[in-house]
Amino acid sequence: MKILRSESGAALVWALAATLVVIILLGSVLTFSYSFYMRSLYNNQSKQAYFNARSVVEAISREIKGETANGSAIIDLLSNPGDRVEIQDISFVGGDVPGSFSAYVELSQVDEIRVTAVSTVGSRTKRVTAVLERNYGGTGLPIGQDFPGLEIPEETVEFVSGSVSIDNKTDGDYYAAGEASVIFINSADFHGRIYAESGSRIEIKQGAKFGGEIYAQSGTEFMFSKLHNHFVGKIYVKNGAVIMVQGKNYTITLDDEGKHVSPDGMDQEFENLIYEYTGSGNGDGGWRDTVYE
Amino acid sequence: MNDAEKSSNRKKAGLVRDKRGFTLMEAVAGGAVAAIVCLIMASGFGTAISMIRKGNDLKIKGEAASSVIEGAALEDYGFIQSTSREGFLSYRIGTAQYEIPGIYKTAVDNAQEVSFIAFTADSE
Repeated sequence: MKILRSESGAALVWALAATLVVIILLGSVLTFSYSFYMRSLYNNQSKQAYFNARSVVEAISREIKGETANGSAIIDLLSNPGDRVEIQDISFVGGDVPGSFSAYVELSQVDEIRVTAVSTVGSRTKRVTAVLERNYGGTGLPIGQDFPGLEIPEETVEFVSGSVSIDNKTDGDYYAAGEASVIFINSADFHGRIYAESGSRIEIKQGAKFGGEIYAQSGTEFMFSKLHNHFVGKIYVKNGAVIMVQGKNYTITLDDEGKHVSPDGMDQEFENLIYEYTGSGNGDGGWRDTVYE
Repeated sequence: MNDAEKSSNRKKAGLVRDKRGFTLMEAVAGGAVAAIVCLIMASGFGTAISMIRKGNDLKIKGEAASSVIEGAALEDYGFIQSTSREGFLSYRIGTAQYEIPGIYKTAVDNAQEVSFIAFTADSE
């Protein structure tokens, strides 16, 4: 059976469909363009909110690090971990800074202060936190991780990134950075200090004499065949350091009973030169930046 | 039955359509509707393009102004002006009032559509 359909009104249907498509298309384009515009607007509001929060955090952190009267007033209120000081009624006087601000300073750990500020501009809110850690003194160079409180005279020490040979005329102190090599040649008679970063290599020829100090970060490598009778300097390592001696890794631990080297087999003369580094920072160095979050 | 009568009978029976094309009124109305739709579309797309342009403008100016605040050379952005002035950050802890002196740095585009300001405390 054939159904006959009337075609009257088809033009109206087509017109409605076309209008619908146009409306959807136009709506999509307008929505997209509006979103794009608002995103730019919000981005700028976010930036200003970030500048506000960072301005507060930096200003207060600077007072704490600089141990000013303002900074000390905050520090004095932070005795135990978890203590928190609310910074109230923050106002940027003399600057037309938009938005609202709040901030607090918290002693999150014994050695850590967190300075946090929150700012809202328009509909955007940003939070910035500066983490300050207690400054125990000592070098800020990588070797300081193993030797807290160790001061390195960075103005006079010679930084070595490639290779340096030490002979009987060599004087001064050396900082072996990264994969640097320090070679004690046969004629060496060295009484200075060597600061050896993890990954550096110290090669000792048979006739070399040494009466100084080596601060060897965990991961330092020592190469020699036989030590001279006058190779009698001290090699400091941290408790638990792993150093490579003659191609083999040894772990140095120190306790009340003395020094332990694991596994056995380290050259006895060399082992006798190893000492535990016992220095530490005194914590009187104030506070310093670690990271911004 | 003559031809005229035959034709009349067929029209009555609905076998022949006597409407061909649009009437003048239909054409005028259709044209008007189409014109209105085109106008709305043109206006809508114009608004959309304008908003995208403005959004892009805000984005470029915002990036430039924030770069200047962060220390970028002003010469790199001819459409940004920067000023510095003294002021201080004031706050209260408990009942005690504190002030930190410093400098406000602003970066504004020439059309003053985008403006950033940041405060840097004076060094000790």
